[in-house]
Amino acid sequence: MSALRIASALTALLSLSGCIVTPLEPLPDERGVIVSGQDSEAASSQTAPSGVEVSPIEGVQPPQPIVDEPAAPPPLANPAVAALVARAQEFAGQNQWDRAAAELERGVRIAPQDGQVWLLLAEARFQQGQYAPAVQLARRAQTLLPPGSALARRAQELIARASGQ
Amino acid sequence: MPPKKKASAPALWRRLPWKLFAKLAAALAVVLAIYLVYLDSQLQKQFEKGIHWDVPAKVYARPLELFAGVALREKDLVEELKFLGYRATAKPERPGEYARREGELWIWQRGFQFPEGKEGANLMRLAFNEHGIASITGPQGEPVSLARLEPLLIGRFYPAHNEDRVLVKLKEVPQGLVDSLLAIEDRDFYEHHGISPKGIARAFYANVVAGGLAQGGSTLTQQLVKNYLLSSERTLSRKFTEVWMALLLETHYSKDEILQAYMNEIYLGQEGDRAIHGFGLAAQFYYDKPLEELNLPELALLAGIVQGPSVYDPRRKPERAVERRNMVLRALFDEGKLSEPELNDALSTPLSVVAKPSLSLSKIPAFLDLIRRQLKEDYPPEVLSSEGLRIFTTLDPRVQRYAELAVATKLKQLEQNRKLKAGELEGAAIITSTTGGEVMALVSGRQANMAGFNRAVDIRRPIGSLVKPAVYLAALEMPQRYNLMTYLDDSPFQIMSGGKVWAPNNYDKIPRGAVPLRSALAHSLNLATAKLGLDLGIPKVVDTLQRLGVSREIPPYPSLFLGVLELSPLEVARMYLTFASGGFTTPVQSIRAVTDAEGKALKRFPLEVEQRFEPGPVYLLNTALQDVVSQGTATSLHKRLPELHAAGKTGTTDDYRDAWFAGFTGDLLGVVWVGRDDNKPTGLTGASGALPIWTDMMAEIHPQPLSLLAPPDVSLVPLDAEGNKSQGVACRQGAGEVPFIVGHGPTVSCL
Repeated sequence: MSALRIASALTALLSLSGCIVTPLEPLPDERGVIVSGQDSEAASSQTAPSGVEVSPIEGVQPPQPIVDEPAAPPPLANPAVAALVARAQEFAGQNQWDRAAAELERGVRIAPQDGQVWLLLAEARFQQGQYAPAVQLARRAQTLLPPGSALARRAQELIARASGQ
Repeated sequence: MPPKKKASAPALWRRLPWKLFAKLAAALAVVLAIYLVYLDSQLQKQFEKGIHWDVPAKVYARPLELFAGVALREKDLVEELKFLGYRATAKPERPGEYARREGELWIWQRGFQFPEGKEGANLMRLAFNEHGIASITGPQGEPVSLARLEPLLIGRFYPAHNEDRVLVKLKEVPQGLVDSLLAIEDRDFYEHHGISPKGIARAFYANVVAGGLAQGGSTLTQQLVKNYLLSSERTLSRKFTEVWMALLLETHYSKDEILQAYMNEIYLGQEGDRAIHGFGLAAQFYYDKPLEELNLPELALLAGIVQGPSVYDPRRKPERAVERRNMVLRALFDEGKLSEPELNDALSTPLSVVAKPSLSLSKIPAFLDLIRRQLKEDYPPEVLSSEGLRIFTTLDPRVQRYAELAVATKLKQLEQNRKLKAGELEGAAIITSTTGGEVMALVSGRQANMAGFNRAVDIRRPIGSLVKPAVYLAALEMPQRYNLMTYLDDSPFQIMSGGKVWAPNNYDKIPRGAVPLRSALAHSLNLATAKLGLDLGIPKVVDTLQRLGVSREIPPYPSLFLGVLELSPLEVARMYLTFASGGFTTPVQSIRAVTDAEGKALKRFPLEVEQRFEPGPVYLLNTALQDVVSQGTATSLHKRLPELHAAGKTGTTDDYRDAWFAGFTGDLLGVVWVGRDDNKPTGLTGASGALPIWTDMMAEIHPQPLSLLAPPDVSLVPLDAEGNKSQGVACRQGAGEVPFIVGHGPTVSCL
């Protein structure tokens, strides 16, 4: 899983999610996180994506529980969610949107206050052609994203586009 | 006279009716040929789809997601590991083991095929702090961002004949089992053609030496035919059929196919009316472990049991079982599969059979009933009981356990404290996640492990004051007319409704006069609420209830405002989920996905939300529901769990027939009902009957605190005690900060 692959999967996710969106800002958390035990290929490389600096262990302090600061969680502050988003992007790159959506649902369950994950889930539903659910998920995202932020705008654009379908 | 005799013999020989014999033989051969063709067609029919069994659908609980920062206590994780059949060791060396080591919890997780993909079998090390998991690292100290344990098996949908199986593939079967089985049951298995004269002779000799039945002469193929194809009657003709069928089977299938079929078919024990077939299930049944985790003495015992599962029952007849196991071990030694020290080691190993298999422990009929109903449309019963489907549900075994315990304990306590007859009270509870409405626990009564009336799903009882938040939300949706500080008129009145006089009263019969809206809700004032409802109009309140997710017919009378509406706890949960998720409704979900036996996803139940209310009014309402807990009718909850900042509402119906509490925290929603099956009064209110159960459950479950996120169109305004805008120092001791929809706040200051 190279940085290049992540980047291309990311681009795939975004380009496939239509031209409505401005590219997702690079994930704020790039601490070379891994997901334990994935499909054999991922499991065999239990290391960080090359090209991404791996912080020493002491640098990987437990993140603040999201629930402690539900008012303004930094986007994808939770490495577990970041890992799930990365997997979702891999599935998206293979055009497997139902599996991508399933991983993003895991993300939503883990960090229900993170508007960005709701938005990504909305985008995956859009790709599955499920426009009405996409609109609703994007609305849910909007209630959690800082008003006027780039992500909130992206949610608005998705709603507009999906509503027109 | 010897010559005469000599002469007569050939004469007799010659006189025999040879032609007739030949005819008879030919006829016999034809009959035999026809018989074999018939048997073969029977065989083909049976094995049409290969060697195939009905495998019950397996129902799994939610898997536990492990990541740094999750609020999961070590105690609860260890409990889950025990339920999953993990063994505590000094140092985990294989999947299924864990250890407390160097201040960390080491877990060697088992691999599992999830609908999204395979989770590997990895060793991980977890450190904890006071919040939960502080960090997870791999064996080399590398950070692991997310891991997922295999989900607990909580139930199966059996076919009518109650056979159960955990199918195994031959290549996954430990060699020790194959060796043991062949050594004790059929040494020439890979050489013979279905029957073994050598085996019969050996068995005969062994039985003579032992002076009893020590070995059977049947080959594994014959045993498979006997188990799979034939009835259990012991007749000569059946033995005859068995032999021929064994020979035929060998012509159709390879040795490995036959051995694998045998491994999955053979009868190995009984639990109540459930027959234990196959080594996969037997491993779970006797050792609470997957087959591949068994050691040699354990495998040898299973092979030994084959000959007589009740004779060698290791639970009821441990001495005989040990004897039998050791016979298998010695046979392995004789065949050179064991060295002498290995043999002695194995012989001295005690039986490690578990007292009671955990697969019979998980008794949650109410939840399984809910699952079955949800699946009914897509999967008919015969599919559920035969195709080996895997059903991934939302049940959280930990939450379920605490919920069951709270209902049972508290009801008993309530009966004792109030001198009620034991067993008179009943209760039901449901706990869901606030995101996606996933059912984490479902308690159908005080005896939750008994199948029966599913009160959480099937009772319909008036919801009393649980309806009030709908009335207040309808008002708050009109910010130009109502805000949290709008004064309502809590004074007696009467109107005509349906030809009768309707004159509501407060619970304590005391009218409060002018009361701010949020206090009227906090103290559940009937007069103020009924008047507010009349001002809003019945259609408006009905519409609000429908948007909240109530799909039942709603009685269009003023008494609706005080809760004549009848709902089940499940339906109440759906209604309150809309508050908890900020105005989005979500169906109550109990299944995430269904996969086939190989793990391929057949159906997913996606997370669904639908916005039905603007976030602003719902936010205002939710703060008022927090007031119910902090200063209204549910203060006992606040006193016990102040850090939760929970929101909720009590409900009591006429003559104390039904006691309700519905409330939510940051991540969980809980609805509790207490009443009697015969619908007679209990003398309990929502606060005295249902709320204590809710509080007990949550005190053990440790949910996340509720921290409401104010939408952008809401601002907090400091107010004085009269509800005027507070600006001066003198006003600080007032009502505190109250949220308003921007542009619709109070205008008068108390300066």
